[in-house]
Amino acid sequence: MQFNRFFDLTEYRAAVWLDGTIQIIGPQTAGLVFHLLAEQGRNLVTFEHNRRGLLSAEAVASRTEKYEGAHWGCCDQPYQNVTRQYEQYLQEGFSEKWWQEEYDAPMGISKRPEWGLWVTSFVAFDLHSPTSFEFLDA
Amino acid sequence: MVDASAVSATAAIAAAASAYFSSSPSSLPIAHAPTNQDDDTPPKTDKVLFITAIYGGYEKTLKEPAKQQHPADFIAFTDRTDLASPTWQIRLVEDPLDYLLKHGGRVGVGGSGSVYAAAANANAGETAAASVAEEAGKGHGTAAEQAGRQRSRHGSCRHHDFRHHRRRHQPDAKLPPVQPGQGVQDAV
Repeated sequence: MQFNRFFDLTEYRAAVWLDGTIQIIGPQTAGLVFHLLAEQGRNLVTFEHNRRGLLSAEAVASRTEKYEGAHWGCCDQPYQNVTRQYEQYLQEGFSEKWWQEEYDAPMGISKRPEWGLWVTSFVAFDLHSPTSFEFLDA
Repeated sequence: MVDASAVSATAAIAAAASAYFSSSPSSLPIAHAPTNQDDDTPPKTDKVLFITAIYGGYEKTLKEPAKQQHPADFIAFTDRTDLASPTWQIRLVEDPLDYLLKHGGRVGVGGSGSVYAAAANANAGETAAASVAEEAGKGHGTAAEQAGRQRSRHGSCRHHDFRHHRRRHQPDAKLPPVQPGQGVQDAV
């Protein structure tokens, strides 16, 4: 979602796109985002899913009642075709070996574009940076 | 594969952002050109805005965040009329793309009143990392309780005029006027 199209953002220094599955449990999350963006000058901050191994292995391990069952916890839920989701991930440009690449990378090697798309559920943008809006409006 | 469909869009955003920013000049200054030059634009603050979206019947609840020591607002877009939260400001938009198309591509949606005023005594040392965790989807009171809280918090909403902001970043943009009542009403 291009959230910047829905808001007057002028009163904010930073915006964080947060996946609906994530809960913020630390009282200093907003402060940390502000520190990293405004005080350290980073354009973008993300928290990524921390995994190891192959994406396909993750898909296989996710074929459980939690995702494929019609009921989980307190509630009914729609059936989720995990295998189809995995295939969709690959079509969108995710790499089968992203987590493995990251895990196997030598110390000091940061993430590489050639590893494919990142999986992350938390993306913070500096709203003082024109670069953020150029990206969001692209 | 944790919540694959839910994270897909976010992941794509992050990946594109990564590629985009990695190609940007590294000398980009921390603070850019003044962004509050218009007299009628509200002053910049240090507030952080958290935005989420609950669509398609996948997530059952909004996850209540911990009270933040730094000023922050929380806004949730959804197509669900039964979602309520004491913290998240609900913005009911059934089809965001369709909504934007009908309103000229850029609109203000609802209000953005501060949820948490700054508790300026933040003991926010750098080592105190913010905690972000996947949560198993706990409810927060009954639906009636949530609805009551939501009504009290969002009894009214105001609609922003985003045009100054738009002009600042895209001077050539042709913007539609924002008419009263154009924003989307709160969920409850």
